Amino acid sequence: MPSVMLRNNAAGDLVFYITKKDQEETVVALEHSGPNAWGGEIELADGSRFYLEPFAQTPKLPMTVRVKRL
Amino acid sequence: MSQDVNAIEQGFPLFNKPEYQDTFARKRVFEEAHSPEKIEQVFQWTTTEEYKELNFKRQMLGVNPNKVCQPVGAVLCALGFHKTLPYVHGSQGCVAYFRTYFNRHFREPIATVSDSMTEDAAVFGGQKNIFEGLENAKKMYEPEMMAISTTCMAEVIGDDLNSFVNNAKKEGRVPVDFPTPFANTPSFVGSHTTGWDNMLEGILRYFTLNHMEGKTPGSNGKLNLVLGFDGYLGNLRVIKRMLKEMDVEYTFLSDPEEVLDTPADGEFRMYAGGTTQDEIKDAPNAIDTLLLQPWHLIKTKKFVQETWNQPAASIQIPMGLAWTDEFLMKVSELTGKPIPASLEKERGRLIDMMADSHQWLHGKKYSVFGDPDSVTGMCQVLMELGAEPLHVLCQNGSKKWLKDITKLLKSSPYGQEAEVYTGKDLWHLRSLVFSKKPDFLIGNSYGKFIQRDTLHKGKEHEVPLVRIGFPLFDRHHLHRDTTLGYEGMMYILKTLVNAVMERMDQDTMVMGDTDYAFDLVR
Amino acid sequence: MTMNRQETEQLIQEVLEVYPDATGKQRAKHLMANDPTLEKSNKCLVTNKKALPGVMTARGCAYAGSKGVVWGPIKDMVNISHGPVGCGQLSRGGRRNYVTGYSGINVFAEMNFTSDFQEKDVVFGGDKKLATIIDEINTLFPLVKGISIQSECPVGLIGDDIEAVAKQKAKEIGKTIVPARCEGFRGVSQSLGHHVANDTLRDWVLSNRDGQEPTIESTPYDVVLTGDYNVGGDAWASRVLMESIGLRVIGQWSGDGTLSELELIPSLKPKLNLLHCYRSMNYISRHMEEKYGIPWLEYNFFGPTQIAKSLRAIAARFDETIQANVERVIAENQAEMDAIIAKFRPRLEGKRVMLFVGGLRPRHVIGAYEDLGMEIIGTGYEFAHNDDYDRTFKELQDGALIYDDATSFELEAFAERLKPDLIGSGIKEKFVFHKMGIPFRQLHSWDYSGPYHGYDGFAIFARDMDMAINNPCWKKMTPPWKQKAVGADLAEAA
Repeated sequence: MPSVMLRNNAAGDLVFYITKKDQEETVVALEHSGPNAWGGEIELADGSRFYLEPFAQTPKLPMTVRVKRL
Repeated sequence: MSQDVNAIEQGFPLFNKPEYQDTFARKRVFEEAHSPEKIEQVFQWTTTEEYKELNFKRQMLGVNPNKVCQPVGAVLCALGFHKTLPYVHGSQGCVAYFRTYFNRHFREPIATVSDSMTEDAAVFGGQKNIFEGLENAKKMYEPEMMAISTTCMAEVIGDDLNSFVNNAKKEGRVPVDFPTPFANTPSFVGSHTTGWDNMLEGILRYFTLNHMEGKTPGSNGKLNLVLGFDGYLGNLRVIKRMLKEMDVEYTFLSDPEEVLDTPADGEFRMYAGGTTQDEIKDAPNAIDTLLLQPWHLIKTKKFVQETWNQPAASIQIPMGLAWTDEFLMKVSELTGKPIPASLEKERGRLIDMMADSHQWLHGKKYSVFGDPDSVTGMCQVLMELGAEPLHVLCQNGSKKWLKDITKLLKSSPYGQEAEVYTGKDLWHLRSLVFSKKPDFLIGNSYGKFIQRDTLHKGKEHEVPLVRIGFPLFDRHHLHRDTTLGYEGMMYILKTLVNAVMERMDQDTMVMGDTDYAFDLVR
Repeated sequence: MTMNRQETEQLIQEVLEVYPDATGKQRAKHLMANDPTLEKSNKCLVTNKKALPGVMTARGCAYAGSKGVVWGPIKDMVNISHGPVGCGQLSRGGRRNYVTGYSGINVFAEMNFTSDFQEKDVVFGGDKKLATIIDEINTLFPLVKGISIQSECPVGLIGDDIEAVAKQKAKEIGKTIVPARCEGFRGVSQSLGHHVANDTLRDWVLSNRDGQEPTIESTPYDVVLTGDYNVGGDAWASRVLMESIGLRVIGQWSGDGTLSELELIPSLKPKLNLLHCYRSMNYISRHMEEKYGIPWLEYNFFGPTQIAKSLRAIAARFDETIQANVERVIAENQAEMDAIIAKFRPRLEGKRVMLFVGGLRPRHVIGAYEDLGMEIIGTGYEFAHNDDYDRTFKELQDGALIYDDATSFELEAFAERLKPDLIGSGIKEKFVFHKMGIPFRQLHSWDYSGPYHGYDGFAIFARDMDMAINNPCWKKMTPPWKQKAVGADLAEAA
């Protein structure tokens, strides 16, 4: 269950930052992107996939969350 | 922005322009800075007797120390051997610092490797690091010897250096006969001078301990010399020159004269000069081994006496007139070679200089700080000049040293006022010079902050720093000079007397005020 | 001799041949030819891995990153080098982090405070000693604002509880005390020390005044300068530039920085956090954005091209007043910059440069060199991560050599082959290349010059690069009696 920070970069892309690994990756696919659910399966530019327990609403970013590696 | 293309200004004096001074003022609001009055009040308090007492009550805190750790000395010692790569077993950051320290003083490249121990090595020990480290360094840098020392990390986890190195050889990482002398150099014991001594002893032991058969003191007719931890290239050169003039053959055990002074001619030499392995192996056959800085060459002395059966004749550091005389007489006594006329003439020239300059140095008061041997030598030089040591501070001096130098100072009319301190640092010294002002401070570059602080109290309190010591970071090329022998005393005398003149000029160049004494002839 | 990608790859292979096989394989992953079209480095470059034993890495340690880089420049706190005497002494004053103030009275950055561990401290632990030291500091230096404890290797190995001491003593003396676990064996380089230091800022400093009434009123034009260590006064040069466009700099982290400037940030809630050294301070920037909603922006004040670009990017985050100011400031400085370039560019045009530095300079200074008509043929970082290289590729020309955590051996070999006109690196490298006859500037300490940031800084940068390359000494390496006469050369060729 790595701890990651989700934020939007200057270009407006959703970015996934794995704190422990000090690694930043762009999110290329997000299962639920609101307004009633936000999260689920996440795919990163390097091909790796994670699962985020969906939020009921679109959250305010940046935000640190726990995700599951898929 | 305000640069003139034909007179581009860097930090100073650029930052004294109004636009920068104004921004500093605006910044102070966010600094929640103390008021100037409060700061000044506390500054003045730090110059009082009350503060000095509090300062000397310190039990645990070190402020601006004047010593470094053991492996620093071990690396300098190892650099003095032919085609030898100093190898430090432990954390890599230490080695980055050691190299930097010597880079800045000697203005030379310093080749030293570490085996980059990290967290896993802290848990499992550093054997794997030794295996890979020796193999990589040997292949890449092609040394003929690696002299191994340790950082505190390796010491705290208790790595068994000897068996690790032997295992590396068994594994074929480096050939079995590849020389790998070593020394344990924990940073929490002693100082840089201890580390120098430990490394040399380790190297001598490695090459001679089990090879003493057929070795006889005196059989090669040479003298061995050991300089110890020292920042002056000139000191190696002057001793060599004097011995040549005496027609005495010698071996310096650790001789970094060449590797710390390679030419700029288009080629980088990682290795240059240095004591060869054959010379080390032959060293037990010398008439004797003279330890030029005996206060810190303790293990070396023991080894020379007990294993090589040489007397390690008792001498003082050959600094100043009398101790250079004694050194030459000892060399003459040991080798049977007379002291030549050339050295007598050099001595005469030194006396001539002393006579010429004595009026400016006699009675001047000096605070001196540094390592035990060089501080002892400096006190001797000062007293020979009729100058007076006022404070003598040696953080890494032993109790025995304290007793000995106190005796030396008491034996001269010029040493009567001197106060000696061991285990104290440069923040203590700051209090001492505020309390009792010397004319000058003698020591390494760190002394410059004391000069600045005393100046802030007022020009009349300023204690100018004369830079003689190690390290010297803020002046160029002083490491080429010489403090040993007659020549060394000439250099010190010249430096001291001209510091007096420089100061006289500063004080007397105020027009219409002090300029009556701004003399052309001095 | 500018090389294409293939030639660069070939050079890399040749240099790697000297290594033992396993080591060569490892090192190969840290070397590449630049491809400016790449977005991501993680497929072509391995970074932030342990330096291999015995290779002569230029890297330092976590202590160097925490005490040396991040904490060291904070001027009104005392940083205790906690452990044996060496680390504090060897790192004292080497980085030229400029500060103003009264040393030993209200600023302490230039001094060395050490617990000078002895054998008994290693055996019995150093916590009691540390507690006494904190009291002694508070007595002898009453204006100290706070204290940080910078752990050296033994502290972590003997199991001391510096956090407990910090909490206890902070309560007793009523000042901020920060324990940093930056033992040198942790991590693989300075980089972990930056991270550790950032975490201590987050956990022990930044939120100290949460819930308190702000003491200073905020404005819509407040910014904070983060990750500028004021080497040779860089942060000051950046500060006046920020002020010249109408922004108010409320804090500097950590060059010439103070504890208050850190603690005030949440209450002043600046509009923008300007991040200079991404590598060493991105962690706290991310945290400030998440917790306090302060966005961050990376910028580059090296050379007029990058300055203008950055100023406009900054202005875009503010209103039209600031945007107009930026255009005015760029225009006002144009003449001065033109004069600098007119003077120095003809002397430097086409000169080829190799770089090997730390946090951000291997990419950030490229533009400044290019403003002078110079070309970067190789660059690399001591302790970067992949995100640094992601930011580097597009700044660097195609085919240029990239070396991560280069060994001393590699740098010499590359320099011998590439024959650059200038190398910009550190003090450990400087004298090697002097001997080889290659002009050199230290790009950590600015070789005792600086500032290099901002418009003022670029003038100094240009002057310094000119003096490095065009000083007469480099042409005198070979004695005249060993120089072949030009005529003889021609005769030989014929």
